[in-house]
Amino acid sequence: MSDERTAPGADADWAALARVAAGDGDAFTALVERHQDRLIALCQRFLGDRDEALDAAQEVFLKLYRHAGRTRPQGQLFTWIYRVAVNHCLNRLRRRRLVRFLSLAGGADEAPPALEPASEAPDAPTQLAARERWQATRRILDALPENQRAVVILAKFEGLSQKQIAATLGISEGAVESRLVRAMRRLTAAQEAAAPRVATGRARG
Amino acid sequence: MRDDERAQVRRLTDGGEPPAAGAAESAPARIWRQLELPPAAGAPPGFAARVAARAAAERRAAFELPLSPRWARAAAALAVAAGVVVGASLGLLTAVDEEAAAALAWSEASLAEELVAGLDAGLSSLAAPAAADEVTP
Repeated sequence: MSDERTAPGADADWAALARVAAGDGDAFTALVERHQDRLIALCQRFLGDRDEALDAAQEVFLKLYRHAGRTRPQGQLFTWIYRVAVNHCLNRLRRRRLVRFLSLAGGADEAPPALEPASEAPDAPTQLAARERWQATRRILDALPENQRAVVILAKFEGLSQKQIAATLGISEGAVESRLVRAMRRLTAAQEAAAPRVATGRARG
Repeated sequence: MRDDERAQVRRLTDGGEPPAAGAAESAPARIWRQLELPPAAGAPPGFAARVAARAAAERRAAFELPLSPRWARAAAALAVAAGVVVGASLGLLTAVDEEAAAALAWSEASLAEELVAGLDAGLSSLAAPAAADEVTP
């Protein structure tokens, strides 16, 4: 995601959204096609589950459709989509935690969703080692408070700058920096605790 | 929040100044590098079309009535007419009920009057012999 000033597709997106508001179904399909891969990837990184990510992405696009006539052009459209998606995914995670709590089926130690590789790994040991690393990362991310997890995912996996994260989450750049520092402190502690598991996985790989 | 932590985070996120050549990798930098998630696959075939179809269905459901003024007006007129008919019927039924109630009340009053008259007559016939006894020496 580039900055507003350097975003060549920003105006085109807003123009497309204006057509959607006027009832142009093809414009909506084109908008979805343009952003679907990034949005699904974002949801998958938050939720850790492909099917749930597809469901969440669809909901976010439908929200965009419903608000097409009321959304004011400001910055990049995808920043707005990111913001809605992050909030939507965090709400889903809250619901998921609530269901776990109510059903008493698990807790903080519950295994995260199975992480399947998107493409064929070259060989089984490599694949296994990769899965171990993904599981370890998922455990670490799940242990972070929501607001810190959001900035880590946006910075590390979406490659957003602090300024872009601030715009996406509607907070100041100082708040982004502060959350990242606190997240790094937690990550350091969590990584030390998870290190033996990762090391075991590597030894087997 | 310490300055070195802030600088470290800025380096990791915004590609700030790299560490000096030959310097050992810091713990946060190593952790940051080791964070890894599976590459996300793209959208499945037909995803955009499915989303668009659902959006179109929602739009139809939400806007069909205002977008069809002819039959919407007809439906509204029918509803008003139905309301008038129902209201008038209720009014007639109420009037009938009132008449029935009045008739019942009249008949109840007549019965009461007849009963009082009967009682009066009975009392008179009972009182007559007593009076005769009194008169009779």
